[in-house]
Amino acid sequence: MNESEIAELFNKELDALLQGGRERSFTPDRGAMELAGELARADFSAQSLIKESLRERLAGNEAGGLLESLRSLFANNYARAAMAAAVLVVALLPLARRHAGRAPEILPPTAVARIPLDAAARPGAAVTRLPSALEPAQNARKEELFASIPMARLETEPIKNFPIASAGTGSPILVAEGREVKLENGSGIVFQTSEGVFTLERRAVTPEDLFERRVI
Amino acid sequence: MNFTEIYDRYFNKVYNYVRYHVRLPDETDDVAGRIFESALNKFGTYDPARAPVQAWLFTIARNAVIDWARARNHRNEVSLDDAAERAGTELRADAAYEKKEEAGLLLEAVAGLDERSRDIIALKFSSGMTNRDIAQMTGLGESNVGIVIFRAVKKMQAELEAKRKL
Repeated sequence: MNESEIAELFNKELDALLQGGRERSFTPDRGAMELAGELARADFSAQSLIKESLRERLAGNEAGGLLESLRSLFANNYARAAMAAAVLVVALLPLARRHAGRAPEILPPTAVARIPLDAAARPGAAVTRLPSALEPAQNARKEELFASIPMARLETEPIKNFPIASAGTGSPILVAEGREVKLENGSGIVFQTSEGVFTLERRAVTPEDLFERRVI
Repeated sequence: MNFTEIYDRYFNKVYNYVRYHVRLPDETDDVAGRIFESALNKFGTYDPARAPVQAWLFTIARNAVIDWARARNHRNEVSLDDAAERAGTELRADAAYEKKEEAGLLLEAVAGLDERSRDIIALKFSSGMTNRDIAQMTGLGESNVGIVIFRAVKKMQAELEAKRKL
């Protein structure tokens, strides 16, 4: 049996010994195996003076190491800003949800009230108090986007009676007293100027007579 | 497994491994402390798929022992003879706490080995690793590791028998 074969048997028995198994006799060199057994049982760690203190220190460092890892994670500005933004979003999310139901409501447009025929605009009449006429409607329906104008409450200047005096540098009226004529749905005065004969009508009108209705 | 569990499981083995190399108890404590501090620092990057914990830890321990040996040779503060004398004195003092002086004799016998044999013996008997694991760690062949162990044990056996006869 050469050295390699003896060494192989020795190591086979040594592995069994170190693994805690039964010592099976493989090697013919019992003296070497006895020394190996002494080495396997030798334990010098009882002479260590730092075993417990080192354990405590490392356990403390291990816990501190986690904090240090987190700290190093947020060491750069980008990570710090991203973290701050994330925290802000999380913090404001409940607030945003609370106000989500308070969005301004858009009311559907209300129908414009019909204009009564007897309160129709008269030709030649100027609307002088439109703002004051609108105020009641604005006050009454402030929250609505559209509101109808109560035409009946519009105030106009009273129609002047004849004779009509000449005004300014326009066409002078040659016939001071006009000739009243009967017209459909009303009456009129025919008067003559230097440029021609005109008829001043006085009759009830409908909105269609004044405005062109278009569909938008 | 957290690091404290690793420490509890492997401290004695690592300490014994270092002790076979360093021999002086106070310096053994110092080196062992550095090993576990280094291991803790590297624990976050440890990948169990690449190596078992024991192999990973003893790789760190081997490097620490090599660093210690280089630093000792570089410092040259204590000659090897002085170190052996100090170790012998301390071992004799430590032996008072032991039933026998066998542990001291074993350390002396291991110290008498060449560096490579001492490292393999220290790995084998402190960690209980297989020859294949030691071969991977040291870069030697598995059968070569077995031969080195057998020859080293035979050499120590001869020395111890000679001392015990005195």
